[in-house]
Amino acid sequence: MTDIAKVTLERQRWLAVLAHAERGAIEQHAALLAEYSFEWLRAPEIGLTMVRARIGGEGDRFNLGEATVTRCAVRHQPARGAATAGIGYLLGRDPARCAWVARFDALLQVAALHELLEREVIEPLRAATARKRAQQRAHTATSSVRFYALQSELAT
Amino acid sequence: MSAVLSSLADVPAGFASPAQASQSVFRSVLDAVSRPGRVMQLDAQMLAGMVAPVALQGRVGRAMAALWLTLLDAETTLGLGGALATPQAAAFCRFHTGVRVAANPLDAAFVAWRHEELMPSFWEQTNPGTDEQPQTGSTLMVEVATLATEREAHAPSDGAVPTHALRLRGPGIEHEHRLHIGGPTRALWERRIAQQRDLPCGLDLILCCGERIAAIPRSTRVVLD
Repeated sequence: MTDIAKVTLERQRWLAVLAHAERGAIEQHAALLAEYSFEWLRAPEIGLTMVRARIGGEGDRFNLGEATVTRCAVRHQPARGAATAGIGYLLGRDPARCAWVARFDALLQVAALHELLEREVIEPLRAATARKRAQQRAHTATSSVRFYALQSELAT
Repeated sequence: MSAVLSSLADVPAGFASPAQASQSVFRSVLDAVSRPGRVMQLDAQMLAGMVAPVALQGRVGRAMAALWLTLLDAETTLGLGGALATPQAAAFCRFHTGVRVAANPLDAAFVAWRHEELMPSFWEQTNPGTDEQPQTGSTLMVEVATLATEREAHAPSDGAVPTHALRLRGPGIEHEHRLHIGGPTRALWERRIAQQRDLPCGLDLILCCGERIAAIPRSTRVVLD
């Protein structure tokens, strides 16, 4: 994989973790941001976006519906090195949370801070989200019904 | 990180408070266009914090950059003429407004030029609209060297830049206004005057100088002094 592709994939991963993190969880880490300075590229704005999906997960595209999205972009100038830009795109209306996501994104791109933030922020958030999802899955599974007499439509 | 990812970090900041600033600038543009011949000073407080693209400092003033942020959106096209056609200027406009930057500036709905690069032939080739849809005619935003009303035009021109006194009459002007514009050549003004007979087709002109603007819409009758 080329350097750019690897870097992009990594960034997508941490942005996904940040975007899916619960408000309470990310708020706890937000105190870390206070010691760094940021400049708005785009102050948080709330708008609508059209969500598109594919029929059956792999067929034709169609418009699923409109979703409210909050977005913002910040710039951070580290003590050494080039300036980095962080973006936050979240479902729902939450300018403060969006700002935290964008700021963490900007800091995670700074080589000197990357390791620390991955360890202290991203890993705990990822673990917390995974735990919550596992709980939900377990809870849903208790109500699952299997029809032994009927053939499944999907050839799995 | 890589050059591709850091390009967002290079985009210059737009308005500090976009909603208020764009309304203030739009109001100034509206006043300038509806009262041709008046020179409007853009509100300095609204422009504060906005950084005109670094690649263009010296080539355009903050009024031009403020116009871009105010008048452009995802439903229109922008043409950057001559030396203004830098990737950074295009990135600035695309990021803050969502506008599409046209590959050929002459095809766009809004076209920005520096006065030295706006040749009379470019004026001819820019879309003036049709008789059925005159409103589709383009708007030119031109950065000029000096812009002064009759009252302000005391300082003698330094001669390096051609200055012309235009007499303006028509809608929005009670009797007559005189505007002293340094930069565009006589040939350009003659082209504009010749296009008068094509009304309602024609190009609307917004002149920018530093942080001031004036406008000469197509409905104004222009006479060179």
